[in-house]
Amino acid sequence: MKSLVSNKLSLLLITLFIIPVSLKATDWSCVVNMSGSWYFSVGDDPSWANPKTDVSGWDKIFVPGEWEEYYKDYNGYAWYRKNFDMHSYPENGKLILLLGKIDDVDEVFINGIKVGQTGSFFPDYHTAYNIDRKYNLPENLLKPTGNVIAVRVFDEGNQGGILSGNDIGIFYDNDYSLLSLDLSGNWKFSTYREPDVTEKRFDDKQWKTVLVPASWESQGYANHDGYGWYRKEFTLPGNIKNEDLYLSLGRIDDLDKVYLNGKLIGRTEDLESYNRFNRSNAWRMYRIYRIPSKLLETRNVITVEVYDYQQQGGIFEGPIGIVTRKNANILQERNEDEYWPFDVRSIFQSIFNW
Amino acid sequence: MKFILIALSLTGLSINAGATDFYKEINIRGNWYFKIGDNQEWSKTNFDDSNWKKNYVPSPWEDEGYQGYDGYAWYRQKIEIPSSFKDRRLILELGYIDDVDEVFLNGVKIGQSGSFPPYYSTAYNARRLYEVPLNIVRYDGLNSIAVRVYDSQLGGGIVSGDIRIGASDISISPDINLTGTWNFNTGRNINDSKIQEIIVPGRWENQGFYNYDGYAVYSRTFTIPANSIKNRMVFLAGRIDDFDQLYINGKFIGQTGDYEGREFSNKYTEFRNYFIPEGVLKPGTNTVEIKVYDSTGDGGILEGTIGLISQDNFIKYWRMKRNR
Repeated sequence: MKSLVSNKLSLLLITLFIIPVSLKATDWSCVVNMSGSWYFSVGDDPSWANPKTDVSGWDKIFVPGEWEEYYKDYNGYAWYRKNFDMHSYPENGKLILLLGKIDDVDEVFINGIKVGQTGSFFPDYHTAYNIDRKYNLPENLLKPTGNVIAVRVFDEGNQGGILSGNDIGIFYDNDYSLLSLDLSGNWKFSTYREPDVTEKRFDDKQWKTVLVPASWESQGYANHDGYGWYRKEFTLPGNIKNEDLYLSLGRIDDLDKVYLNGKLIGRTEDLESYNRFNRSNAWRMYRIYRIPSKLLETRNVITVEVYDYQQQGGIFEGPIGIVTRKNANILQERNEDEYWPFDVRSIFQSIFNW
Repeated sequence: MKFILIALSLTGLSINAGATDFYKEINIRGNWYFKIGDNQEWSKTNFDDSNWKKNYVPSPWEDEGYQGYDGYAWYRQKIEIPSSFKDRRLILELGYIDDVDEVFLNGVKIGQSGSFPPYYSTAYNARRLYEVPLNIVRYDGLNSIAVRVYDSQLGGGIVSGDIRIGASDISISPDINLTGTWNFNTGRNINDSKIQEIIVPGRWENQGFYNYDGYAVYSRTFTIPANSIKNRMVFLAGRIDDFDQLYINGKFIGQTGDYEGREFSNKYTEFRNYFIPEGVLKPGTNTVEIKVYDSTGDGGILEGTIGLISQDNFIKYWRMKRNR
């Protein structure tokens, strides 16, 4: 999508101000750097996701960069493959895969297992060319040696491929090691307002499943602005039952109300009156809400109502999970947004005690 | 009229400027066999034109002894295309023709600009660049070119410009070549009562739809021999102005740009490769529809080789074409 026409261009200019800032470098440490040479082939074949498929005869191209540098005027499907080892392997915490911006749609496999997709292929095509790719890696997926990553990419036209990004590879998320209970991953999601949606007994079986954290635009809700509801059930681990606990929801675009077992426990609002120029900057705020201990049961349900003004929406950046008070303080310090000094935080956020 | 002609010619390109920086070319300016009148037999490869008069090309036939003649006339020529032109796209350039022409290579129609009576429209200001279907080329042998021209008034014939066959990009050789005659009608869907033939690729403005913007459908059938659907196939739909949707056997395969025309993007610069899901193609007769939306200016399937290619051959082609 090389030459953006005027409306796209203006959109791009706007995004400089309202799209989430890039991920904080301090929270990630690089485990495997994947910038550099990758195997590459035009075409499309599901067997290329299989690590056993021999690709030694494929071309090699440099990542990141537009594939037109090698394959001028090429549009359509192409695959990238790379072999890698895990020289260091953190004992706990979370590994994520960053692939920068991919034009237009991608689907990623590691050791033959699909780890994620952004955008949508034909027949329901949606581009995701302006979204930074970030995929949570499941545990027990990676081996010390002989790992294979395969990235299937579709480009509708103009620039194509794994285009750009300072960080391409596998990263260790320092924040996740602080969580007592990791709640990232599959959540239930709906864009329709329904009665009793915040109640624990509400039946969300018919809802779609989405990944958290990630924008809803990257998961089949392209161009959706307005409300979205997330639900997640969890069982409280016995070892933290008596702790003072906090719920970390990372960054949410734009506003949220958070319920635990039917009761509102926190919310982030946007106060137009505070400063009209700063309206819709609530997405920068790191969300962490105290969990009133008397609301907790063995089985619990969180409901998050999100309102998105425009562009990307949803719970888009972690860490997502439950932390003890001590670790909550560390997370808050690490993730505090320089944009909003601590003293204005209370203007935006209300935390409810029950 | 000629003064205007020069000014307008810059906007008349149906094949992008890059394609006319030929890798190499055969100049075919010079004396061509020429005869006034009209006869479909004259398109044929083996037609004996030895008693025809010779006219210089390019030049208005008024300057070659046909002062005051308006109406039909044919030009014929035979040229050798050496095998060193293999593996390249071939473009037949015929400069500017006043007013309407229809071109045959080895007896096969490969292009048309303007529209003949009774639905006459001129294309005098369009530079003639015709994609040559490579499956009809005789390398290292003589190839016959026949050009049927209709002139409504004043200067007529192949009047000016470059007359040549140029070798362009590395060619892709489809397993089923669909460059050539298609059915065409304006509107969003196939409309049997409006269907007429059109040459693909070629902008529709030069083929009877002067100044037409909006929706149109290209359609045709093709045959896949039994046992030849081995692996994945790619449909090459060429460069399309502006947006399009591809259907095979009634099934939606893919689209480029916003067919509903709500959002503009410069997809007219892009060559389409549509990957056909398994199970769509069947042995025997298959149908293809390319639905096009053109917002303004040139419209239609403008350029490129059109057809089906196996993914294996498709990958081989791109490896060969890769920038070194």
